[in-house]
Amino acid sequence: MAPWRRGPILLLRRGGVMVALVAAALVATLPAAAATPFLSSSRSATLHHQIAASCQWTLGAGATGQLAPPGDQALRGGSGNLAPQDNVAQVASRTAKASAAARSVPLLGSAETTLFTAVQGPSEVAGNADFPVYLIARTGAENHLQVLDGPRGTGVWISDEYANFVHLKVGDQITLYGANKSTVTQVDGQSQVHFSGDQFSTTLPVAAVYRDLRDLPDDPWWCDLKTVYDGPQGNAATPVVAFVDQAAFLNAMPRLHLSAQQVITFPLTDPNLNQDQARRTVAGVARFNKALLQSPSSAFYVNPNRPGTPSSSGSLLAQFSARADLARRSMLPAVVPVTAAGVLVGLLVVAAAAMFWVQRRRRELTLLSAHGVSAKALALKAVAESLPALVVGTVAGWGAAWGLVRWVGPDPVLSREAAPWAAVGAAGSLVAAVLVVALVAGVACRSLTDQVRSHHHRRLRAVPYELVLLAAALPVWRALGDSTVTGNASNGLGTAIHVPGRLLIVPIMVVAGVTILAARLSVTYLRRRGIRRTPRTPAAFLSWRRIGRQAVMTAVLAGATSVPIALAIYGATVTGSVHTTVADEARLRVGSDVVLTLTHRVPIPASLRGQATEVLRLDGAMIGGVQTDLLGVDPGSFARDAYWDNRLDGASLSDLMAPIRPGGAGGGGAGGGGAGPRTVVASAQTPSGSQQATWTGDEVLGGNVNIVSTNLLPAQRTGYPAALVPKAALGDDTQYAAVQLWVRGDPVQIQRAAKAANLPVKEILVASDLYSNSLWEPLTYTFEYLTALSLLTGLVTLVGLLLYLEAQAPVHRRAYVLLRRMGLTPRSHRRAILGELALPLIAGLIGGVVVAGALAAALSGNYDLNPDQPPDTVIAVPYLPVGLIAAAVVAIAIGAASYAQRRIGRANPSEVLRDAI
Amino acid sequence: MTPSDRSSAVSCRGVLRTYHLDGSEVSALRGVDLDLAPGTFTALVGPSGSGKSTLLRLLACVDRPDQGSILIDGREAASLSRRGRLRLRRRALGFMFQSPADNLLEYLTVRQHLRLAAQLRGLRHGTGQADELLERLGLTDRADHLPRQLSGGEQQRVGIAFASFGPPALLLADEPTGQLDHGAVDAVLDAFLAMAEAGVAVVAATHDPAVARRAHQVVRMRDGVIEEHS
Repeated sequence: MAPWRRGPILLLRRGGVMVALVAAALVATLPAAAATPFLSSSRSATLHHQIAASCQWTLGAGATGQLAPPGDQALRGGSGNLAPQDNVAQVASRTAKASAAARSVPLLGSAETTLFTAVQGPSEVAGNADFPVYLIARTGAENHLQVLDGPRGTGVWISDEYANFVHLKVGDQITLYGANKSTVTQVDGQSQVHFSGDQFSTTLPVAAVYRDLRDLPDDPWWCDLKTVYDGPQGNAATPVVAFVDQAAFLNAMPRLHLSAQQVITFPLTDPNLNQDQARRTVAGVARFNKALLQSPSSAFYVNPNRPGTPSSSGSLLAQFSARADLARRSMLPAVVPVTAAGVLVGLLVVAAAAMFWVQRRRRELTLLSAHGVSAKALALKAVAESLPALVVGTVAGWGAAWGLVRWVGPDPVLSREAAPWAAVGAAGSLVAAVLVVALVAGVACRSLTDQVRSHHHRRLRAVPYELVLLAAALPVWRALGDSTVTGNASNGLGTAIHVPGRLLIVPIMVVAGVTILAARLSVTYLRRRGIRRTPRTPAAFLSWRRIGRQAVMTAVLAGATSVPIALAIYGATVTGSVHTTVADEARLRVGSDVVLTLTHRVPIPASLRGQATEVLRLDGAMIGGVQTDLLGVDPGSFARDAYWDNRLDGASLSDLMAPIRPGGAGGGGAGGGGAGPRTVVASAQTPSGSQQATWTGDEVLGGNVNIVSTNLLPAQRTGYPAALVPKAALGDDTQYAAVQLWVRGDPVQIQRAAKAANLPVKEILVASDLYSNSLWEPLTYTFEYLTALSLLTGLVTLVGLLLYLEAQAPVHRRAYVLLRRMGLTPRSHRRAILGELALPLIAGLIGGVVVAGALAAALSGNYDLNPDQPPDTVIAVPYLPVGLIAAAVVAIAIGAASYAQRRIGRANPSEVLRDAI
Repeated sequence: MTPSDRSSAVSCRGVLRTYHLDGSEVSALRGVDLDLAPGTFTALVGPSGSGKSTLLRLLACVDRPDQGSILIDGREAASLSRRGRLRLRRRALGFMFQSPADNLLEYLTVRQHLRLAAQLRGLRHGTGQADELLERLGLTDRADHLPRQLSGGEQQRVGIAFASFGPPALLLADEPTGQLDHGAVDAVLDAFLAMAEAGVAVVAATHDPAVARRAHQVVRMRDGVIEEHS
């Protein structure tokens, strides 16, 4: 029949309804379609962060083989069968075998061969004769060295520091020494080796001098050799790295009678690969390993730690890929309820749009209903008319979700399965939207003409179903548990931290239940009592009468404002509190933003002065029988540069340190300022009062100390108390203490400054690293998702308001035309609209903030995801989001009122009065 | 059997209807007895609040009496389920609203309205009847026009044609001439009489004396009861 058949075209006549349905479908689809791409994006980010933080040579496939020295005859000192061509053939053969095996593995580059051995340098360098020179041949090395002199011909490339050290320049000859010459004799049937004291050697020309790699920013290409050219941290001795080409290396090996390693590496060509590609590469690497193991046993080493794999095949990609999956899995408990809530809110907007459709089609629907068309058939008409708009909105929502995740998500790379699953989510939301439209239109159309009283239905409507939501909150809270960890620490993949699902699901239930209950009570109040009030000014009178007359609409608008605001503010509170707590725990555990452990005491460099304090740390001291970490601090700068938050203990760190400051109450010896036992500020696990202090069985701090207890102290490790004393009080024990610089500020700049100042750094501990690695990444991404939901909720509110304004436009227009004739000024009418809009919006804002605040306060004890590590939950009140939301609500109310008044003001009175709607 | 064969198209006995508004009770109908024969045009008149619209709604099966019996086309409407009332409305009733625009779909031509009416009544071959109806109501020349191309009176006559296609046993009209000029009123009343001639029982709730003058019978209501039936 025509009204149904023409449905899709009929909606075009109702631009406002069409826009509302498109926007509603978009809002409902956005979270449904975004969930899978977001999870995929988070997984890619976890994968890529791990890849970025690792050495490129460890990501693809690789194998190691040994280049054997000449046979026994050569070792005995004779000229032997030195045959460089044997090694050449072996290298070529291995490379060919490995390349053949790697050919079928996707995303692997061509073979990079590194030949590596340790020789000895010129013996005339006093004191360094035994210091090894690492002789390395690597394909393409010349492209990653900064040549200072040369190259001239073939030969050895040495660093400028080494060249200065041994007084060599390009064109000079360098002698490299290999194995000791020896003879083997048979005594009583047993072989005995006799070393002559001479070494095999070879002399090569110095072909080039390059800038020492330590003097340049790290080139990732050298990452696998960093420990070679850098040497151990804090070691002042100059490591020697000399490069030769492969031919020279293979020619020198027999002369030096040394074995060497051949490392064949197939690097990953695309570090931005997605998880599907990573899995295919990992599977290919496994095939590669299997193929190499089937080679003759002499060709490649077998990794003793990982039986069944060649020694250098320890590709980290498999581990990274599995860990990325773990991160994704850990986010599900948070993302699923957030997505469900988003879809639910979106479907509420769809329901509002459907009501809008019914309102705008009321004349036709009433006519058809009067002619005996059933509500079901009218619901079908609603679907027929709205379907194109819903499809357009769904496609737009899908596109927006896809684009937003790629644009502002954790990572733009998405797995292949993300697209179909996003499409499934979008299709699911479309089906749900169609059902909602049919349901809402069907129910609304039942009462268009049929006014039969139904006490039964009225009673059913009066049942406060929302109480079920509130009552179910507690059992759901108990059932969901408080697990914050995904994964198994013992399986090699580790764990990932996530927000417990109940911290999101239960609040959503409570917010929904409380809001519906408040809306129900508001409707009752406005209908029974509110409408009787008669404000004096025309604007207030008009807006109050309109609010009273449209009690349901007002309550729905207030609820639609309240729910997203409550969820957004609660989400921001949880987000901020969890993040602040985690960050505080990390900083409290480390002691400051960055802690540099030095090999020995040095003055604080000028570049770090004012932000760094020296701490002498004696771990494992026994104070009053309790193992305690003893920190010798500078009372003048420690409170400034150690991390502290007054919320942790209710007092400033400076106040806590008062007893150990010179002239402090404790007195006692150096740093204490007087005679008697030294005063120590120690965290609560240490018994207070006068106690004995020892370290490795010997007395420290003069033997007896007077303990002033406090709950927490910086750098307090889980399970161990910490104790602060002035560092001068450690006396001779200073020499046994670990020397640390605690520095506040940006970790990158601090590390740069430390390097520039040439600090003898042994270890660097960065607090933010503790929660920004892949253990905590899922948490960070969940926060981002919650933020995105907050933006979505703002969109929902705006769409709801536009729907409301569109729905009210004809009524407002008629009223305005009539009231203008009665002398109402445009200004008064604008105020009336503002009141009509502002009251529900501001009521929604206040309600949302109150509900969110109550929830946040009630559940605050659960925001500490690592309860073993102090401090407990640190609540971060989201002042800025609340302020922004409040400002947005006020701005929207004023803007919408002005917009509505402008539209109404343009109405043609004669047309309006003829309007028969 | 056509409606005109029946002795009574509508029979109401002891109909009571009370509304509950904000805790107070308003008796809209207080024991109404009414018989309407097929082929009659009845004007339902009375002051505002007399119960005309309530009676019209009960006859239109969109409301149910608290007490009493309403027999329409031989079916007891008061005891019908929602589905039964819907079916009865589709099969045996026609309804017209006051505003001409409310009786038509803006995107259908006159002929398409009649085709839709035939489909709603479940009539497969309604073309002949549509032509006859258009001719009877003087709308043949306007058959392919959209509502916006018609005058108010023409729109109302198309509304009558749409509502009385079938024909139904009972055609109900709420203030059908309320928004029409004098000339258009006559044309509409001619159309009602034509439908009555075809055997339809036509009931129009009205304040317009012109309607009452031309109706076969006038039912005057006051305070929820029938004051006069002439």
